Amino acid sequence: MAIIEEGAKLYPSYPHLVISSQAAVGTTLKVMQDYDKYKFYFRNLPPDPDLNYNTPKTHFAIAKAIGAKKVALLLEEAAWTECARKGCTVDTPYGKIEIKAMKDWVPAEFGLEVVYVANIAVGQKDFLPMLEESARRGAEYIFVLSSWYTDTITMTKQWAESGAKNIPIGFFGRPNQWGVFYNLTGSKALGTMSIFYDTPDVPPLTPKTKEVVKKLNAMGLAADMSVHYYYSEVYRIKQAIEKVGSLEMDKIIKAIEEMQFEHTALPSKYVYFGYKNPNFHSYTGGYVLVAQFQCNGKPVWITPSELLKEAGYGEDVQKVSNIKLYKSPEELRKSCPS
Amino acid sequence: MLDVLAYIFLYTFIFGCLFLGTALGFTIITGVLRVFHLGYGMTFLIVAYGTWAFWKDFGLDFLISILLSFLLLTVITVAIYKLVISKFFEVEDYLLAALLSVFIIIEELISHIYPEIVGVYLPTSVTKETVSIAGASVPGQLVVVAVVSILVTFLYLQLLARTKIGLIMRAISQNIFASKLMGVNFDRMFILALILASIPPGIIILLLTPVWALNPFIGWPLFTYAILATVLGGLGNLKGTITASFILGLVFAVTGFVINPRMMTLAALVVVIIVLIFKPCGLARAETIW
Repeated sequence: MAIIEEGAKLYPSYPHLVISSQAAVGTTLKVMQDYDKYKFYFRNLPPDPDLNYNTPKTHFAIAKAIGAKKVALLLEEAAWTECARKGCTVDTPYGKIEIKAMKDWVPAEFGLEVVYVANIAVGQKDFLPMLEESARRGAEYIFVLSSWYTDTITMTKQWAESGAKNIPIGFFGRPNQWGVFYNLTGSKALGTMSIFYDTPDVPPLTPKTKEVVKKLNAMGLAADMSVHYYYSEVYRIKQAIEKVGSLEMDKIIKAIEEMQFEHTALPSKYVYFGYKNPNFHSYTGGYVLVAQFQCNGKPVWITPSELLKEAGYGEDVQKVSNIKLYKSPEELRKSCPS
Repeated sequence: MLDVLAYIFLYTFIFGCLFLGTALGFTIITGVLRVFHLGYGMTFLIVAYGTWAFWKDFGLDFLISILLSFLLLTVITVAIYKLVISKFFEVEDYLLAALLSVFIIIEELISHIYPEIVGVYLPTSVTKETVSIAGASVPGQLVVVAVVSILVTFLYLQLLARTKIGLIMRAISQNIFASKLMGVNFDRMFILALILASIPPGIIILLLTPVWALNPFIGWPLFTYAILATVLGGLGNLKGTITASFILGLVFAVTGFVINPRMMTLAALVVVIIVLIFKPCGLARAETIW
């Protein structure tokens, strides 16, 4: 928020672009409310209502598809998860967006009973009470709305040896999006689920995905979602400058708003920064590709293919991802060589 | 309701032992040396990452790597005593700042060499089973941590209560100047106390990594546990630390299972502050370590 304000002061004398995947929905709104002042600012992340609603829906679709009826919600207590924890109302010049708290929309939209909700403190290490309580209340799926503030490695290690170890668990963000996550947990991530693209075997989400992940992995770098976001945006700027043929910033901004862009991990409609995007200068959230770590840490993609089709992923991705490939943690522990 | 009670009893024991295991070394340092060792958190890091370095980078046997990591810890501990503690012993603010700086330097160094993405993991699982007692379950590995914490505490109590070295340490903890007058080799006993104090956190981190993430910043939360139990116990009194550990374990368990798991550390901090308001010296009088 400070950068967008200072950038607005600077822009008349020093035209520039800012593309940032921070999680303050205010920056999305400012561009909508006062375009001329803030038009230089783009947010390569879906706004909070999308992050807390449209994207996590994938996990609840999976929960329902594997037969779960009761879910536990473990929600990181950070500003970006407010919509999930309390519900939120966002006023835009194009209308009001109202999002219920996750504990309310999950039963209403998916017919799943929410049996337990707990907030996760930043830096928390002792997850056993919330995992055990989830088990005690009969949860059949645990969803963790996590980002870099939640220690999903510790949570996974504790989950794998707790009374909740046979309950499927799905994570949102953090090192669970890294290929090395399985090793970091000492293979205790077996059976966990996560948005996951950090492997050369990643399905071709876009024509660029495999090539980029291979290059990054060869350099010893992980390709989590944030990496995809920032890597892609550099090429968007390059493409816009080439289209304009100069560094005239007003024209470059216009070019960015008008052009369709090929991302490395998301369908074009999620990453369109122009007027056809309801979030305008921000990404749009929606169904994502979720993988389950199976034997030897091999990721198996399980997002139901009809959801991927709806999201705009290609047929190659739809063929690879199949909810029937899901296996319960208990089954995996029995069948995978230790 | 009964199953909640079972969870509270079980986790009071588990968390209590975890507090005790992390705080034992810190209690010895504050009890014998009368130094609030702000670098204590580095001991966890040196043993964990030292083991990884000897094992993975030098290709040594895992058990030998563990022993070498403790040897490395001993060398670093002696160096810190010679270069930092003995130099700034009389100027406490400098000493605190210097010890904290050493901790941060080691932490940053490890973070530079082994960032989280390296995937450091130590195969120190004694058991992967889940233990269930009266309907409450807990990772078996945490039961191991608890049992080892009690065992190590017992051994240290024997050392302090029944050996000549223990007698000298207790004498120093009672009165440094009088013990000097009685001919105690002050430097040697300080170094010995520091080395003895660094062993329990090393053991705890090795046993804890199967259920806690290992990253370069893991020293802080464990150090926080050690501070809470030691300060509540009376800053350098083992009886106080043992009592405080299980009180904090109870606070953690009740908050985690009955109130709100997000508030566990906050609740422990509040309890410590409230006790200190009424008993500024903690639960036990800290005139002697035992």
